[in-house]
Amino acid sequence: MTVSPVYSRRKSMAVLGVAALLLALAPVLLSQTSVLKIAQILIFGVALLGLNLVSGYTGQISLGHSAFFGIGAYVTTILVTDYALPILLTLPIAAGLGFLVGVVTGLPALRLKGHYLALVTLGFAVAFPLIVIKAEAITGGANGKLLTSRWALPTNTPSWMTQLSVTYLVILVVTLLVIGVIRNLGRAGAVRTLLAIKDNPLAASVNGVNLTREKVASFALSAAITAVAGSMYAMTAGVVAPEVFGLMLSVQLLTGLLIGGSGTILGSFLGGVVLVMLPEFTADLIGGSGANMAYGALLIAIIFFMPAGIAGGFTSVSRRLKAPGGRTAAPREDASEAAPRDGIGEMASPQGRS
Amino acid sequence: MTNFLALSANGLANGSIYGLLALSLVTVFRSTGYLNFAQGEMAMLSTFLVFTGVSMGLHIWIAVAVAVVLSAAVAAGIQFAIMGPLERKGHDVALIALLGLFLFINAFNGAVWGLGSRAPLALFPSGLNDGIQVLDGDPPLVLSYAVIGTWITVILLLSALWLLLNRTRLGLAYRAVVSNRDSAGLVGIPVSGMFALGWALAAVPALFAGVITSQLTGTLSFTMMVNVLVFGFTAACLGGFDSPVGAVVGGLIVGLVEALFPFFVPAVGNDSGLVIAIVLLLAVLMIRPNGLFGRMAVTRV
Repeated sequence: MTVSPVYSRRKSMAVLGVAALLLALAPVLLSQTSVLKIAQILIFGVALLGLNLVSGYTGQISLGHSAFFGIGAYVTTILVTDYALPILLTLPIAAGLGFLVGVVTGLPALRLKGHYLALVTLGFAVAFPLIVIKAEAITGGANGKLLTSRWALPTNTPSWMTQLSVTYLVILVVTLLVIGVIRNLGRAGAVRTLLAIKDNPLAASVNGVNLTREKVASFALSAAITAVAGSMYAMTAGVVAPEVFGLMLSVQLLTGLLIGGSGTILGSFLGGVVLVMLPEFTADLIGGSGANMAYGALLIAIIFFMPAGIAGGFTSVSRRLKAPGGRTAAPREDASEAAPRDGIGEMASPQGRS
Repeated sequence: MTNFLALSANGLANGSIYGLLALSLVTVFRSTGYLNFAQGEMAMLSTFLVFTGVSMGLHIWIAVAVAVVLSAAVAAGIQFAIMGPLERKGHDVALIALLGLFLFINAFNGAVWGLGSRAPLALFPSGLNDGIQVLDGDPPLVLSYAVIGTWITVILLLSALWLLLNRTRLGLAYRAVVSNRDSAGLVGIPVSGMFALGWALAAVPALFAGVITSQLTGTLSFTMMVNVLVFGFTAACLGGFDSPVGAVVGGLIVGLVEALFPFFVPAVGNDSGLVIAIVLLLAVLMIRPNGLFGRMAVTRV
């Protein structure tokens, strides 16, 4: 069985290193607007890495990641603004709270076969903004809450060293850390366990995998990572408001994941690019609710024509180029062939059937 | 006491809405096996069709009739154009397509009818004095025509669905597909046609759920069905996903619990219905995942 590029370690390590170096130079080379944009892409990329852990690897669909994103954002905003905690300290707290809520929401749903996780997390995603509005004393209610924090920069810094640049570099470091965590999961065999659960839950459990424990653990870790992304979102946005973290965000995240290609690290960041850039395109074209319309249509189109997403398309093309003698299969068949491993796109397991 | 009864009556009316939406979810689920996440938005789209009919000067019941036909056609079309071709790709893919539909219909509605609120629909007389006084007292227990009409709608729709499914050849074919898809196909029943029938049938209670939500909550906007969908899913889960009666009973229970829980436990406060529904959903999944009326799902391995 060919392994996806997630696991071909040395080469992807080099690619990652070069990418990280180039990204670290961004504040020096690029305008502040571009830096902000890259920061947003990284943030959504991390959120998608989290979502990927549950939807890309175990094949469960979570609609609650908007809420986990929101939990992270609110934890950072509240702790920094009201309790004057150092902003970096709020990241692990956000992750911890995200993990905890992940366990609580995941446990009842993941014991069962079928789409109960989607069901429970749907409720959670719809309720989250309402809970935030209700807890007005802590969260600022419907008006949102400002995050007041400034990095203490030394005097006579170069001109590119702005508040945003520092935030950006922090985000870059955290992103690399999260990628490291996920790659280590792959090394420790945890991801393989998850893929086994996705491909054939029964066979996995016969081979000694505790399905519920693995699923809940991966869901909670996924929630924690997305909460960290939410925390970084608050750092760049400087303000949080309940309606941002509604159900629509969850569906948008799923769209980004699928367009980028679920099951791969690269796919998550391509998804991040889509999530940041697409609303701008559609705002010019249709305006208003155009972005959501485009997301919805794209989501349906992608599962019809490109089940492995953009990143999956890359892997299947590069694999075809490498294959000796060349394969004659049509591209579409090729993509769907690659999909059972790469994406939710082609889940063939019978779970959820009545 | 009157207060308690009034709360119960309102709870049962709201519960009827949840039951109607749950009935739609169950109708689609039984034949196709999908949890239709787009059902709430489809209900909202139908409601706006009624709205357009009414603003063109049609009587509301005629607008409803037209919208029923259109909605059923759209729903069947979705099955043929989108869900059918995805059938062999499995349920996770179907779920994603439904989420895409959810987002698309929601945004489409916002683009066509605007993001603001419209004047709510009134399917039943909605004036202040339109009601029947059931009990004297202070305050007297008055059941509004809207509440009574909601109850009657649920009973009529459930009966009609039962008659259609149990007393007609079409219903027999549908039930054959529900009970065993492959065998039904082998004896010549058009399986994809029955899937489409499930979708089309589901559009009817969904439409009424939307229109009545508009009247009872006094809203008509593109976000009005998102919360109701959560209640509908809770109701369907509580009743069991393969039981139409269960869906309606589940809806009524959810409505009652939502209305009466804050009455008995004042600390909960009002407008936490959604949280109550989610806790209920979690409890059902923990204790009785097949619901009150559902069959145990048996998988052959």
